[in-house]
Amino acid sequence: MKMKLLALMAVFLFATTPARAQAAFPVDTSKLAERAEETTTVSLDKNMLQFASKFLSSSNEDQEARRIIANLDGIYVRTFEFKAPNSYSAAELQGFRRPFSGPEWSHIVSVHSKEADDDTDVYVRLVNGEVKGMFILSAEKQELTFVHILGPIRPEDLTHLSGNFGIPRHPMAKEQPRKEDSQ
Amino acid sequence: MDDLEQALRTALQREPAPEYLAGRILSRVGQESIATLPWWRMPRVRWATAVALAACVTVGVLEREREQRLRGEQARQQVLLALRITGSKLRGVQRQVVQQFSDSNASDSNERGRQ
Repeated sequence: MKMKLLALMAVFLFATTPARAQAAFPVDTSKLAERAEETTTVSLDKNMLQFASKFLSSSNEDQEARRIIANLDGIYVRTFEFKAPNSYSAAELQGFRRPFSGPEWSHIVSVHSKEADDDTDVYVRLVNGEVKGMFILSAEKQELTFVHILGPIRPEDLTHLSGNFGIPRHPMAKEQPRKEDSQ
Repeated sequence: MDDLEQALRTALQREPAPEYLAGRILSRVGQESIATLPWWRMPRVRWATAVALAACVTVGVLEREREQRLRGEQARQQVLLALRITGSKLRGVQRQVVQQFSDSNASDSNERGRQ
């Protein structure tokens, strides 16, 4: 009886883990993965973020990362690189945007570059006027990138990204002292 | 009666044990007790077991710590990769927005110049 119960629990856990991971990532990218030449997948829930933060060093980049992930509930990134251009259709892109057409998501940026022929959309999830999540969809000729960030993201978190992770420091970011610095 | 008494006295007279006796008894007792013990209770086996167990526990703890460090390092790399990808996409957006603003400003000033 005990063995049956344990087996049932194991089956339940095994069955629900991918479902939870899928729920955290609101777009079904399984078909893209089949076509992609190279796929990058990062799935970090709150527990993993907390675990990872223990191993971040004292370097500037790591400290910045620790500060950013401290309040987040998850970071999910999917990158698909294709061998040939136009490996995805406009209809597929529309499908990826559909989950963010609801009232809780705000489409804050949509840029299209004719020169590079790429589109980038940035959506934020607002709850009681506060940003509680972010979704980035970047569609390039041979690459599709999805970033889903769960949890409260303050605008200053994004400005503090500058100077690290390959983003040049924005002059505005220098002028705004951090709360931690002023204390 | 006296002869009997004398004979008894002689027979029962206390005699010191030979010097080799104590050593022989002790060595035989030791041999017998070890020989009668089951093998797993032999002192050497017990010591060897204790040392092996301690070694196993130490190796297990060290291996667990190594795995934990490895997993932690992987998680750290994933966090940095995720933030780098996010950062590069936001940088692209920022660059494009700035470019579009400067393009529209340039076209506005051109129009004003013509007027």
